Amino acid sequence: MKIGSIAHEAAPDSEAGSSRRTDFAFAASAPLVRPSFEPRSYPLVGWATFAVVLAAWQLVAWRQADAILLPSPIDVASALYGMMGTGELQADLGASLGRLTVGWVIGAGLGALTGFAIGLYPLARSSVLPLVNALFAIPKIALLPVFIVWLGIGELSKVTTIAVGVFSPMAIAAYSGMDAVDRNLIRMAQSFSVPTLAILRKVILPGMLPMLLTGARISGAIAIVLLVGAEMIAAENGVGALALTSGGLMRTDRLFAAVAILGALGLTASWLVGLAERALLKWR
Amino acid sequence: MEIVIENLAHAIGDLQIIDRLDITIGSGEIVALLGPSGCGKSTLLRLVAGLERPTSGSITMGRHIRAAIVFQDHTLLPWRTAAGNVELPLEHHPISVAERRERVAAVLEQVGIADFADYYPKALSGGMRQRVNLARALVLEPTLLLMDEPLSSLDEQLREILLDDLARLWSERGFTCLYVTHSPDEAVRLGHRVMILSRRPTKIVEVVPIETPIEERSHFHPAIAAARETVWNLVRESRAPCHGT
Ligand SMILES: Nc1ncnc2c1ncn2[C@@H]1O[C@H](COP(=O)(O)OP(=O)(O)OP(=O)(O)O)[C@@H](O)[C@H]1O
Ligand SMILES: [Mg+2]
Repeated sequence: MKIGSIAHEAAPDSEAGSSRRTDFAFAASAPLVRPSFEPRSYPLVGWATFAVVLAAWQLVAWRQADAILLPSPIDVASALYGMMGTGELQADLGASLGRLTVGWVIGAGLGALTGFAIGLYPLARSSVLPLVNALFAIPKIALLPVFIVWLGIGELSKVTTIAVGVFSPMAIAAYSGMDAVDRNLIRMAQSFSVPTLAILRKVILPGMLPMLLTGARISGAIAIVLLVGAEMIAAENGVGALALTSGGLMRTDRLFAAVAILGALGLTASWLVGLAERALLKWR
Repeated sequence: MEIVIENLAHAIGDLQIIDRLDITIGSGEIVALLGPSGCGKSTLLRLVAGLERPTSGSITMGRHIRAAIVFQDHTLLPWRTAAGNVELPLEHHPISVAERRERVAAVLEQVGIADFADYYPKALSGGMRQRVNLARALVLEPTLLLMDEPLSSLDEQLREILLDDLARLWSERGFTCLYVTHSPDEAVRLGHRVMILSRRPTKIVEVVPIETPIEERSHFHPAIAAARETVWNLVRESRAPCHGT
């Protein structure tokens, strides 16, 4: 970080210098900074981009004038504010969050456990892994009708769809994370007679954690996609249902508000994972 | 006799790595192993440590041996600090947390990285990591030390210092030691016997006994200088035919 910032400060200096130099010195004045390939980012740029997109949208909405086809950000904000006043927003968001959380926790938990089993036992790898891979390829929303037939139109079928969707990516993240743990580290621990259970806890688990968190990130996004699908097909409430009914009523301001909430949901999920990564993977 | 290796053979897949090896190591003896890269030195250490089962032959040891390995590759847990890594072997022994911390601090001091106790491995230099590696093996006060090129990525001065430290440590504790190295200098400084190994499948080409007491040895000691030359020549001979393969 420090080296980078020093180099950036130095860059304008050397450019100013080069204008005074003769031509042959030009090549030497090129910045000596090479890409570091470190996962750095500038948080402010993210917000600025967001602001620019919003401003552009506002401008287009003003000039375009048809508020039904493209409501402006201000229209959308006021729709959001209105729904908050009547309590609709809280109700829909609450319903969605409930499904999302329950579905994700169950699916991710079972998926991670299955991944552990695949990673630990060759028998599980041979028997369960092909099933996990097959399941991964099936569009889970196509299973919703099946779950409705089996489990009814209530919460259970929607939660199950999300859980099933989250299951495979989490299982795959868990077992491939386990496979990626350096065998030498396990050998090392064994040479110091660390008991097997402790090796699992002190070597394998921390070693697979980066992959597990990546799995959480990906499965979080998958869960939101499935949530919306399930709510559009078979729900009275929830953000997905809000989007669908608003569209049907040509209330595009509310439709966009619903879409914005989904975006915020996705951002929050990835922010939570980022938080966990920073807390748990500070050794990287 | 502390360790008796008899008729040992080991193959990985079709690759015969060790073929009928016999070594007997006395209690408190340091045996330095020198041999071309890829001849199976690390494999031999793993076999002695019981991390792998030999294809055939036997390795017998005294009953009350506490073995520790200094691995050649980086085997520090990246998610633990230097101190945390050194603490690992102690965590499964019945000693109090306070005593554990004390021993970790003492051994880190001993290898000269006490100031970096709280650093994660990624923030340590190669030489520092190797010292943490060494500290982790020493912290258990092992009676058998299996060392796989423990000083290979250190600078010359530090290597001298740690060679002296190891020699001093040995005279204090009298552990048995298999010391794998590529450096004839290290071999003649620490070994009671220096074994020169052949290319794969590994056999003993020559054994050079060194009588000078370990405490009296130094880089410039005449007997040690002479032994170094002998070992150098043997190593050169043992390697000569293998070029181009
Ligand atoms: N897991 C493995 N699978 C296949 N071959 C292996 C494996 N481990 C080691 N070998 C082979 O065994 C031989 C001996 O390896 P080893 O690591 O013991 O050599 P070494 O003498 O320690 O070499 P160096 O001095 O370079 O460390 C090599 O030819 C290597 O390719
Ligand atoms: Mg080796």
